Amino acid sequence: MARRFISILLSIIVLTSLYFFIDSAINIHSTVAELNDRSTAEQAAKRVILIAQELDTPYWKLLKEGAAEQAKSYGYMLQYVGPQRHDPDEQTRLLQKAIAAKPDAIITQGLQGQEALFELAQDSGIAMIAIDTDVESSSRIAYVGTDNELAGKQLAQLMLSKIKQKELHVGVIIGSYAHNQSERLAAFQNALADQQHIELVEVRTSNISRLQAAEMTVDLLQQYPHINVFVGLSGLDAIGIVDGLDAAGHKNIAVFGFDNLLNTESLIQQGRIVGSIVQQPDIIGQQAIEVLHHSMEGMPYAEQNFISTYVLTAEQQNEVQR
Amino acid sequence: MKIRNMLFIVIPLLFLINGSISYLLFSSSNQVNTSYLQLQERLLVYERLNEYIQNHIQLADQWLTTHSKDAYDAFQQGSQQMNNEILRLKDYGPPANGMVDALSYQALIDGYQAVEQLLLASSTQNTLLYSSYLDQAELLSAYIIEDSYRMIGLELEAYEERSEEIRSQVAKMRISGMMLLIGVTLLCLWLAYRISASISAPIRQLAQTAEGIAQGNLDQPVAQYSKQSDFYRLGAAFKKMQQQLKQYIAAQKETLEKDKQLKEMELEVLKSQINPHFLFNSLNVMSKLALIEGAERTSDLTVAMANLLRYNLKQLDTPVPLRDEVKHANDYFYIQQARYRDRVKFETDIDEEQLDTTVPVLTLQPLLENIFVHGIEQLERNAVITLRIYGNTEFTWITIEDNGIGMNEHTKAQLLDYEQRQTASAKQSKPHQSTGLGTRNVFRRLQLLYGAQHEVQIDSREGEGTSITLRIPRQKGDL
Repeated sequence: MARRFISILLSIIVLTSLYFFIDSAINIHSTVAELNDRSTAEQAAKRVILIAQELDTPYWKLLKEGAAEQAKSYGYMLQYVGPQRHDPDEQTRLLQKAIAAKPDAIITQGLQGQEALFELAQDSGIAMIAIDTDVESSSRIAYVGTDNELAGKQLAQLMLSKIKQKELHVGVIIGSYAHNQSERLAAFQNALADQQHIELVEVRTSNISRLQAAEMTVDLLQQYPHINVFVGLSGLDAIGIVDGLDAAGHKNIAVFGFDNLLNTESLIQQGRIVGSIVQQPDIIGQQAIEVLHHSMEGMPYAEQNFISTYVLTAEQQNEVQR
Repeated sequence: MKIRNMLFIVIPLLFLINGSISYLLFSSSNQVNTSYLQLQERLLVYERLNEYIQNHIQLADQWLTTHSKDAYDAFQQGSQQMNNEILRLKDYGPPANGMVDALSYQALIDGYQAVEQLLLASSTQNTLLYSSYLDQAELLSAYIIEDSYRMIGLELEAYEERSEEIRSQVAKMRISGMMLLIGVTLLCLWLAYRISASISAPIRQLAQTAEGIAQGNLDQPVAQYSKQSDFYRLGAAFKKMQQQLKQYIAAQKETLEKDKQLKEMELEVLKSQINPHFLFNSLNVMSKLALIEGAERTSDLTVAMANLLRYNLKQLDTPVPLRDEVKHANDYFYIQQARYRDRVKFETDIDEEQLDTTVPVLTLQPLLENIFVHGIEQLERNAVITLRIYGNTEFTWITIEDNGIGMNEHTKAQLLDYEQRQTASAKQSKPHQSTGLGTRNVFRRLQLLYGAQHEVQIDSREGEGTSITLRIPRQKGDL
């Protein structure tokens, strides 16, 4: 009995360790094989380069994901490049480089002063698609981006519906005076133009930086203590404004923002941000590839594609949760 | 399991396991090393390409400024160097996570090579055109260098993704390999112990049984072994041997018993053939009648006959004093003399002191009978039978002589061959035995009774007579 027990025990030890041993050997083998499996790149597949404004921001990442997903379904290969920090010069240089790399298409922001490059790309047989920001004079085949006019209007309407005070003194923080944000601002201003009780105190730029947005907020409050509403026109502005209000000790000023980044949602839940106008970058990316596909297949497509924004407030959030 | 099979399976199996452990360890580490070396090689190629491309631009610049043949050659040599690395890169193919990047990279390189061709084709005399190409080349080289680093990053990233997995698997392999080695070693030791025990234990058991049999113990149990064991046949054979030995001994005992019973029965039958009382009574009546009728000799003969009969009916193994035997011999002779009358004479030369010793009953009569039947029957006259008894404190010698026809060597040898088995001698002696107790039986009985102390000697010459001498140890008469 004892002898049999020892025999079985030893056999089990040997067999189990043998199993794990062989298993790990096979795993190593297959992993190394995967590592060494370097199939030659498919020359036939369409190559698309997507240039971001800033590589690692949530907006651009979402946009890239939407584009990548759609590209995959059409069998396109998508290369995602962009400057590490917000840097228009670098962005331009990357565009030049992308053109030198001769892809089938380039998807990029339509920056002012890039018309010549767009032209050059067009001549090299590269399909150019402008996203986020359009340069109408460029030789791009299409534009896909947020409907900034609608967004500005939505922001104004949201503010009017939420704030019922006699006099509104609005401080505005804008990411940059890029075309898209300028458009937003203009639409916002237009919508409020006939409202006598509303005063736009001043517009400051944050350079798409949370820290700078906070600094500007503190600065504005010092200069104009009567400001009672803050509006941020780019993604991180509203969060920066909340930081600034915390720093200045003015917690009861209403804040309106743009997009749904980082902790925007929880700030809305806490009531620190009244509401946010949210863009849908993934749909922009998706649509950009869709338009490209149509163009390449010779199918009809719209030259200007506006992707709508939606309003995010505490009530809507609750509704969604329900 | 048979030992041979067990060894045949177990030893190669252990070798197989050990071999596969070694092989897998070797091949795994080899694969990991190779993949690492390949990665290193690729990274070096990117690095070299960067170096060569920078060098290449410089050489092109030199050619532009010096217009010399040497510079042109150097420029071409640089192109060659660079192209080698580019070809090597193409062979390697792109990393899995950088397909599209690799294509862009390749497109940049293609662009650079196209410009390079233009540079080579254009004459340096046309400085303006050449410079514009050079500017283009410089821009492209900057892009390529940048993308080389990007590719290096992607290669490292691809490797890093897998290497984490590989590292954990290697660690797992090391632990399980260690376990396996320990397990296999223990298993080896255990099997060695089991196999050696499976050989030595049955041998020890069988040796014990064999020792027992050698000491005459046939009833001890023989260990049973399973049919698959090598010791099954040995054990079974042992058991069979033991049983057959027992059977044989039992059969032998039975035969002996039977013989004994047969003999007793034979004797019983002989004894009961004549009702002794009836015979004695008849003889008494005959003796008295003879006396009354005045035939004294007949009466004496009848009495002698009665005595003879009485004596003959005694138990065979009863020891009697030699004196009685002598008297009985006299009676026997007296009866025989009635038949042979003067033809035969009986002489005795007896040391009276020796007559107290005891001898088995009916020792002398059969010898005398033999003499009458064979020795002197044909003798017409002057037959003499001599009985001599003499001896010392240790032995008594009894000699019976006749001057009859004697016996040949063959007969003598037959007579002296009494130590043979009883059945055979009984058969042979049957035809010339009237009482069923022949000469040889006498010798035989002496042998059984006294063993080496007795001695039988026969001297005989054909036509001259026979002398039979018996030596028996002197016994005290209180028996």
